[in-house]
Amino acid sequence: MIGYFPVAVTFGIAGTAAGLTGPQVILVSALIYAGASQFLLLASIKAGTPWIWVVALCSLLNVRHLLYGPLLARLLPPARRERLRLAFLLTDEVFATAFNRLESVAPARRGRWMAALGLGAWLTWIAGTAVGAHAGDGLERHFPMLAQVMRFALPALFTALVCQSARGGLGLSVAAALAGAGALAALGHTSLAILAGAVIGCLAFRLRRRA
Amino acid sequence: MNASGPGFWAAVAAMAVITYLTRALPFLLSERSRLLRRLAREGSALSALGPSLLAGIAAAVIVPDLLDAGAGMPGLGAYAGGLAATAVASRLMSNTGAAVLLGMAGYGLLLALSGQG
Repeated sequence: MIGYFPVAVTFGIAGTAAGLTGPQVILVSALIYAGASQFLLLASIKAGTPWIWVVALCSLLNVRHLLYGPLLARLLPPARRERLRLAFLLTDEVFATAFNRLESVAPARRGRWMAALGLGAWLTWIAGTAVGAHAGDGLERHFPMLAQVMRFALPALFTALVCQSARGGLGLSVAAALAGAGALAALGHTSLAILAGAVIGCLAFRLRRRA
Repeated sequence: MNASGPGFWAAVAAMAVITYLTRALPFLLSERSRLLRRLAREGSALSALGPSLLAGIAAAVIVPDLLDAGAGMPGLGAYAGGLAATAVASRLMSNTGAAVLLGMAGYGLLLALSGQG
């Protein structure tokens, strides 16, 4: 939850910098509740990407979530209704924490433990977004240089996410995706660049595995 | 996409539903589902999809900024320096938020030093 707060503040600031109102930014955080997808939304507003593309890219970005259920299933309460409630709260960070800690929790208490972890993270995310959205507006008016620094939050976040995900033999895929998408973005095709990056990265991964 | 148009809210609603479905779908399917076992298999090309997509988004966000900043060289240096600071911080620590804040601090410092602020 401590790690969530600064990213949520960053989203709030970047959201207002992208032209969203405070309530809009907070609603996006409360409803979507997926950091990478939310920042994709901001990047798409900036790039003028059609919304149908944004939704398609969000679907691709979220495919990784399909892996969390099977890995956590043996640790969670068996009641399907409870699992479906907990599913809304299953972010990357909540999954990582639960996967590492849930086994040490008594089976009878696991449902409540997961709900507390997930709700705490969700509320932290919304609160951080609200702080960022509020601070971002004031900064723009009173401290223009600070506001310029805050607009750097979006490229900084994606740089951090890319560097942290380029591990475990994925360096080549990420480098190929960056190069391909970068070339298309330089030519002005920013929407196409995102999709091309995904395709090129997966192809590089397959080629490397075959080699 | 316009942030004030109905398309924006349609996108937000669709993204919310899709995000929830990708999290909930595995709990609706059988644990013995062939599809899920295939997805969870180690070394699946799917493991490269998320990072590759993030790299694509990063390029789409950063490259236009770099081209814009290229018109004024000091701004370009601060931007590139800020990205480098973020990259180093994110490799040294696992906390994404802290790495972003350090990168922003580096960018701000370089902006102030170059007199761009």
